[in-house]
Amino acid sequence: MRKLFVLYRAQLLVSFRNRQAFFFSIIFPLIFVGVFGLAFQEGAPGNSTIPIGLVNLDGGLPEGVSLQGVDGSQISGKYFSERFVDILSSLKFEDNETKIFNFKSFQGLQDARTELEKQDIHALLVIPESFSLAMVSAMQQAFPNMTLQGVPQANTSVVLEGDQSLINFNIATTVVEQVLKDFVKFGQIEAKTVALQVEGNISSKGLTAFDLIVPGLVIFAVLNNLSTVAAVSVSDISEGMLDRLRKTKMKGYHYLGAIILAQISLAFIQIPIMFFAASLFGFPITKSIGYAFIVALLMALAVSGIGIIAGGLTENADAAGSLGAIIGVPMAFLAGSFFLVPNPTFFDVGWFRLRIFDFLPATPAVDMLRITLLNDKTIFDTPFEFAMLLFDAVLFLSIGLLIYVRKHCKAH
Amino acid sequence: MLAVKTSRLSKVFGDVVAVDGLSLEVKQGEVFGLLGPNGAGKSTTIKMLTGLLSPTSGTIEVLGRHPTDQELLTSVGYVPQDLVFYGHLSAKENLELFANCMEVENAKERVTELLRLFELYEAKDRRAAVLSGGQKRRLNVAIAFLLTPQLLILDEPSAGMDPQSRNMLWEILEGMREESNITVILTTHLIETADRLCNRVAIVDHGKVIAIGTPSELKGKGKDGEILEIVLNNSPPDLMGKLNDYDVEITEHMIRFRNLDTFSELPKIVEKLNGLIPKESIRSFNIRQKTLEDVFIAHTGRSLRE
Ligand SMILES: Nc1ncnc2c1ncn2[C@@H]1O[C@H](COP(=O)(O)OP(=O)(O)O)[C@@H](O)[C@H]1O
Ligand SMILES: [Mg+2]
Repeated sequence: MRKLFVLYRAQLLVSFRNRQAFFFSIIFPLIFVGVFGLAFQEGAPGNSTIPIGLVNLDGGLPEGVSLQGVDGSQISGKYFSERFVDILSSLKFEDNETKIFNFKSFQGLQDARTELEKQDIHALLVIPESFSLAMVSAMQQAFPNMTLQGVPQANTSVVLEGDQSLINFNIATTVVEQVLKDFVKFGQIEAKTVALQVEGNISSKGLTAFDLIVPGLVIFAVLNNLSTVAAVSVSDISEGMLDRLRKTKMKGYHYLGAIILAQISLAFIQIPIMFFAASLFGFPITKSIGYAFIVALLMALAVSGIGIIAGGLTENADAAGSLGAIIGVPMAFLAGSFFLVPNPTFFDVGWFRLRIFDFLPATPAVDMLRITLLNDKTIFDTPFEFAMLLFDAVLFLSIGLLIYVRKHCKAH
Repeated sequence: MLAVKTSRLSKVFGDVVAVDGLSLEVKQGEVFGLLGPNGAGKSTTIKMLTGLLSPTSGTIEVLGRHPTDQELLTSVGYVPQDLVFYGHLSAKENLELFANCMEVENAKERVTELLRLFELYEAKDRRAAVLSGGQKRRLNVAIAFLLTPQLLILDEPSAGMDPQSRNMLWEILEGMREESNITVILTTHLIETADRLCNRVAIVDHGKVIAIGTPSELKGKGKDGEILEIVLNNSPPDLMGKLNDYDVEITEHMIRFRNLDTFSELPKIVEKLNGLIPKESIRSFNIRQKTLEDVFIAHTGRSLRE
């Protein structure tokens, strides 16, 4: 135990005193937080049009019922639902040029859900059958004097379906929620007859684009440790440190254990620093933050494994460090850390849908963070992401350790 | 018992034969040197003795055991040729790290003792990467002294050391040998190191032993152990057949007589050369004792430094 501890301490001191490693692990990700924080802190999130599906099941107003709108327009049939969609489709981002939504209509839910899974659309808006009736009920709540014959009382919910880990879906949730709130508001009175139901009951809290990016930035920070692990594991070999240590009573598992523990500690130091910095730009810290440590732990295991593999493919520390970056940065991008990247489905049996990038640990890690932190959910709401992250971590760590033990812990 | 015994030891890397049928016997308590130029196979031999490399063929016994025997971890000390410690840790932190890995008793006291012995105490808290060249070398060696081994193996301990550090190291080694009868095996490409420190020296080249013995045996004891070098300003004239009685080597600006009893032969040589070489073209006349370098040159026709 003592040997493991002293080696662990040495590894940790080495990463903190190594200026380059310190920069990439701590300073560089903080700069990203600052830049993204300043750029996206205010209001309008994102600036690329979100493809959204529409299934309008609205049965409209009963035949013969017609109202006079404030602007003099005739209100009948599917007026309410069509107007609601009109408002949504005319919305623009802050630049006043880019539309927020690009609607695509579907006749049935089935077709729409298929496209949602393929990510041809990033959200699906389902307007319920009693939408119009519920709107009339809303008006009656607002104006008690108004009476309308032949229109039954109704309460209903507009449903928004989608993948909670997608930035675009989270943006859509925020926007639809706001528009709906205004739509059922008459004068000062906000009617309660039409609610927004987001698939899985996420409570979206008016998140900014920056908030959606933060989970990706945190994982990006942990991925930046790849270069250091790769470089350290190679230089310890090429510079004879491992050989020299092997001539003491140190065992291979002491050394590898020390590398892994140092990575976990480093990730545990990065997590609070990153979230603290993000909170300065308005990122909401909830009690779900504890799950970030579970994600960080598993990411640290995966990073140790991948770093050791990268080290095994190179001859010197510089090459290993570069290879670490060449692996880490694209992995952060593919995980959708900064913007949406399509994740092709690999395997699909209904409830279990495996996508290609789920085999890169960063993808389930970012998804899991987004779902838990932004929606105040628990690890039990992300069993698939958790399982994939665990799988990836164990897989890469095992491969790394196997390579290391076979290649370097014996005489040649 | 022998401290080390190798028989027909070979190591091949691809098409490079680094060590070629090396058979050595090192007695307990002696200081044994492997002297040879760069690339002679010294480090490869050392790494096989320490079990870090496995031989292509041949056998090794270290203190009667296989080199990778776990028992040897505490009885064999090893100083690698390269500087091996963490540059980002201080001298003290490095020593403590190794002391813990070696399970040294009273590690803290031992570390302080060694810091003082190797004159690193003043610099103990500075990062090892910023120490002076000599300090780094001393730290590299000090790590192997954390335990008191029965056999100490040093790969090029004097390379890169300033003369003061070198003397300090030799004194420490001698002190250690007085206290406990340890065996020392060291490699070097420096004649002075081998000559001053070693009880026995094996001169190696291309992975083979070309001569072995005590330094004075190798140099040829007594009267035939001298060298006469006549350095010229220009190329010597054709002397073919005129100096047949002597072991002589003629290079571009030098005539070198080897294995000479100078006192009795000098007058005859001067007489012979008189008339063959004009007096003005002689720059200098050196008579010196034979060194291990001359032994090497005699066997290989090359200098150790080439
Ligand atoms: N790992 C290796 N792979 C290939 N060639 C090597 C390796 N190690 C040493 N050599 C070669 O073996 C020869 C002997 O090297 P070495 O034992 O380091 O010599 P010395 O220590 O006497 O300078 C050299 O030609 C060197 O290039
Ligand atoms: Mg060498």
